[in-house]
Amino acid sequence: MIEVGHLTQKFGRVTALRDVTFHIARGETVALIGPSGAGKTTLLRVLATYMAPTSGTVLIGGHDVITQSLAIRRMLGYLPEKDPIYPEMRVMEYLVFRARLRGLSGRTRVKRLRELIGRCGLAGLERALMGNLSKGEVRRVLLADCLVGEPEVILMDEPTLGLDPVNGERIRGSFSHLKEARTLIFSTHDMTEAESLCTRVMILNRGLIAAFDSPAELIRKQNAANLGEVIQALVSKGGLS
Amino acid sequence: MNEIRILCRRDVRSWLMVPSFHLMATVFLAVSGLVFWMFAVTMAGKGMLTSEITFSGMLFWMALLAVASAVSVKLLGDDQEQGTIELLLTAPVTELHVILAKTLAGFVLIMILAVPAVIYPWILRAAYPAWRGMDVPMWLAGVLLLALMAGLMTLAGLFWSQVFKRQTAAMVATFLTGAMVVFRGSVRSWIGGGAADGSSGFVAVASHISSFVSGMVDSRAVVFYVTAMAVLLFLNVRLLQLSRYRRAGGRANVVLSFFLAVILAGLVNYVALLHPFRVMSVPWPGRLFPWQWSKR
Repeated sequence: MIEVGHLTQKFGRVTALRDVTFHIARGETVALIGPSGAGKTTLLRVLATYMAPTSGTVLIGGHDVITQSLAIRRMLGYLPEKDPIYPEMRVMEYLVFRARLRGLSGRTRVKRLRELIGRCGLAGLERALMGNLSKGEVRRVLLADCLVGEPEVILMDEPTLGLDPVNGERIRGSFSHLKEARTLIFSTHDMTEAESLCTRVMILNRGLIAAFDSPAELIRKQNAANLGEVIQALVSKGGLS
Repeated sequence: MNEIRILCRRDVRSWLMVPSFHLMATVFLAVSGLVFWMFAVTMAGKGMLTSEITFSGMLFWMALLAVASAVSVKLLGDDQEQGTIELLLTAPVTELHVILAKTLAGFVLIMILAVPAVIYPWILRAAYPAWRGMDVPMWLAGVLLLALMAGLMTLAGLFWSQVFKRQTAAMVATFLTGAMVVFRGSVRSWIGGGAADGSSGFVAVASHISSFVSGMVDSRAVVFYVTAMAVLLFLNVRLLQLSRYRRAGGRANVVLSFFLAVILAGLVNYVALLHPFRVMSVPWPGRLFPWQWSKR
């Protein structure tokens, strides 16, 4: 589903990703973990076609991120790290706008939005102004936006960042529905979240893949008690495996 | 096309919801109303056409440039500031869709601001049925000029909002761009003593504006506006693509594209200069089509 070969991403003199190569199959759930500045957000932005790679190839569903980026965006749902919102729009108005952009119309749109409002815990907030929402509520609106087009590939940048335990659990619960038949990649600093939700974990450090395997296998290889210890061990080694 | 309509509708609706837009509209209406009243009072009985009264005031154009700069810069500037550009560029739309939608939205918003100000002659006629100073074709030529200016200002605002990170700097640059277009020729006329003529201090804003509001639609002016808009549209799309495809040599590529586009636009304008024609208005009553074509 996702094939990345020798991906390098530079911002001037800073190299955010260095020669990253990996493959993710359809239906996999992958967690990107690593210290701040490791390149998680950059990798997700490249996959989301928000920025093109400096060098290397990135194919999603057989489409190239540079030459066929529109085809990729049609099959993609993306939840950015920061919470970009239109403060003057109402929740329902915003979701209808995004659903229209995804080509949903008429009854399909109404049905889909009704379903998402229930699933993302937005009932009662349909008429609320986005600018008046709490962080958790905004995150849930953006999650609904990310899922509105029933995307084949879902990219989430720290979906539960800064949320209270109740809202965090709500979001985790909503994407546990997605695990079947969809490819889900999310970045997180929460090791329990990574361990419990994903099939494989990619540990990034200074733009390099330090490790990419199932949580159980990573723990076994590093002879650690949990994923947190695995990261500490890999990062202190310099991040190369 | 559907994507453009959806994006444009969102922008227009959002703008209509914010109080600052209505504040701008009020200030603009007050300024343009004052200009119209001043002209109507001072020029009454001097044979001045209503189209001239409506569109020739320098203050009218200055106010229009100010509100158009604010609207057009904020169209893309707000997306960049709020981070919603990330949502737009990861949605299933192209850069061309985004720029065309913003352009259309800016055009609609500027026209919404400006149209109430240009219907003053109709209000005057409604208030004084005996008044016979209405010159519909000339007024329509003025509206055409306003529409061309609205399109140009929107694209200039989008361009400068991509060049400058600060919206204030982009607004000043957009205003100056518009001022260069509107007031080209005026400075020369002031320096050359044109202001000594009784009305030119108010009226001689620029030669092309004077010709439009006196009912002459000159092909050269129209070609100038249309090609300038085409160049700016192309540049805007290239700049937005550059923000996504930050590749080595990307900026040089945009600069090269800019020069090629300017050369092409220059050629089109040169051809237009060689083969000018104008559409002149003739007295409104008595003819179905109030204009006639003439080759110069």
